[in-house]
Amino acid sequence: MIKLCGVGISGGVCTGKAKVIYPKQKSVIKKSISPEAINGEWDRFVSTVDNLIADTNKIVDDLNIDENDKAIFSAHIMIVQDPELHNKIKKCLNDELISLESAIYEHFSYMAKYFRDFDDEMFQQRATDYEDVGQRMLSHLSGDVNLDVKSIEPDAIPILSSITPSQVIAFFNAGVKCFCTQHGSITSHSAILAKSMGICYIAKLQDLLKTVKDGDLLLVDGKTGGFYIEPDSQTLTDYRRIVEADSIRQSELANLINKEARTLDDVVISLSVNMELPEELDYIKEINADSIGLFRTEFLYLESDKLPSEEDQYKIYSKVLRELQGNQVTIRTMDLGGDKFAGFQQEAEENPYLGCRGVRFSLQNPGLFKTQIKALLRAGVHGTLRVMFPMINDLSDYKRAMKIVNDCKLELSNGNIPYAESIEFGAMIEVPSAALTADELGSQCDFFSIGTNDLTQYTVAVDRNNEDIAHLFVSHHPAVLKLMLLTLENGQSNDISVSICGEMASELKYIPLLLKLGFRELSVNPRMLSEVKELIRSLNLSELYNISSSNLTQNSIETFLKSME
Amino acid sequence: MITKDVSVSNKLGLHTRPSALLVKTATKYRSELMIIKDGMEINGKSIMGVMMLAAEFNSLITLQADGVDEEYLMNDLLELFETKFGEE
Repeated sequence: MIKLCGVGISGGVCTGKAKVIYPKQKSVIKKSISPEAINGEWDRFVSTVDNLIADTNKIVDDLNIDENDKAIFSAHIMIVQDPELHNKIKKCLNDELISLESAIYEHFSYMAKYFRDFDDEMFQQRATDYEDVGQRMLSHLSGDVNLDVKSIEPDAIPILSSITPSQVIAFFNAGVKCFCTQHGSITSHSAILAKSMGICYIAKLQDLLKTVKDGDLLLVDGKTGGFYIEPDSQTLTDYRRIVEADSIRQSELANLINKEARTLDDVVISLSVNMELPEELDYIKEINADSIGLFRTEFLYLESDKLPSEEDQYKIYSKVLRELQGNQVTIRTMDLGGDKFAGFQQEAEENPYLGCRGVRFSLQNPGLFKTQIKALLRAGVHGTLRVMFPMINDLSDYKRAMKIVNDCKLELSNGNIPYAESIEFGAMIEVPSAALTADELGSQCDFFSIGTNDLTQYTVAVDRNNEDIAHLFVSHHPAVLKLMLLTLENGQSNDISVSICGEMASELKYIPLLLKLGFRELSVNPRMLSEVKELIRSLNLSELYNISSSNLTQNSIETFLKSME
Repeated sequence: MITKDVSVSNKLGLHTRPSALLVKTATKYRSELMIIKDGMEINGKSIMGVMMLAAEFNSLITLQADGVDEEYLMNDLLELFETKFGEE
């Protein structure tokens, strides 16, 4: 048995066989061949085409995907069967005497560039098709097909150097329950995704790729970060006990599903959940959440290099709204920038957290923004929709965003396309300037939603991804709480809803504090919903240590938190 | 050889799905199919070719079928364009 120690990011205990995944090969160096090699290269081409078709058919059969997605895969088959592709490759081999890999790489790169240069996003998306197929052919040729996430068994444990959000999504879709990486951190977007999808994940495992071999039996403890290769029987027995105790706890929590989040002194709290991906819908319905308080839409842009069309987005938003059956869904417009970069975004900024992110990015890319807004306006007819803008600085920001909304409404009604008139629009309060001008904003917005992570980082000026100063990232800092209370008060005086959707609302130690300070609407990580509810039901707010806006100091906050331990 | 001019009548133009449908239809027949748009001439049995046309809504293209079953091929194609490839 070998034990490694990493940082436990999410999930409980998991066992399975290791599947080591090496980074994707990106480019090919041009190589010449001799005339005698032409026939051999051609045969390799033909068999690669056959393999790829067989492989694609298998993906379509195995995966439960809808007709539209199937059409995309059948387009992949047509691309490799294309007579012009065959002519082109034959010509490259015969006339230019370059290797098959070089020919494929050059051809598909050329095609991808050709389509990427179009103005129309629909045609730009074809670039991704060509890139995908080119990469898939190259991986078939090198025999390195294990980077194809779909070929991974659901009970395998992928072992990677690092992981991108799109890989997390692909693993989740493939039914993978656990993965581990040599690098990565608890605050990365991939980690947040893994957490919200309930995938067991350990990061920062030193020498991981050197130590683990394909097929090793692994025991992974996503809570403590313990990672065992070929665990001995004692360790397995110990862990079996932990898992049993855990499942008893889970069934206790399951009893709360149909109960209200009401304190002992009859204060009712509105509890909604945050959602990263539409795939989480089944789970969210299972735990009977009142509503969705934050549906992040970045996944649309992070899942692949291609831009989601209005139609793609309309379908996804409508599905979520319909499934929630009239319960409120709050969708946040794209929050790109910071650590969440999509492939198409401009080059890295020197100071991304103070840069072009959230609604700033949207306002600078009105085409992209309008596509999303129109999809939202149209989808609104299928349920109760609220839309909020991230990173609003002040009223003028909000007005600029609403100007685009009104333009979109006009365009839709000119085209006789139905949309919902009744959608509420609100601002995320996550920048001090927005909180400090909440009076002005409140007179125009339909609601506020406080994002505690960003509000904290911008208030105390601490980058939460910087481990050296991570201890200074204190969400219960009086400065942060004062800004939150200012937001609440101005929301109340304007008679609009104020909720908290940041990670603070999912942290059990902060729940009593937030409630005592007067917050009544929380949006939490779906995996934490039952535990938060259980805690709320055990509280008697009138008996808690008296803390309010009039005595908010570091000292009183510490005293409050201590009294709850 | 038969030549016909048609306009792309589905809103989204010849994007992936209609292009695939067009190529699939053309491949069923023995006749050759050329498609011409703005002086660009491509093999109608090549998905790459059809996609490279990037034919958008209302654009005009010329279909040119040549071979033993050219009439059947052309009828099938005209039907596809008339029914907007089953789209809006």
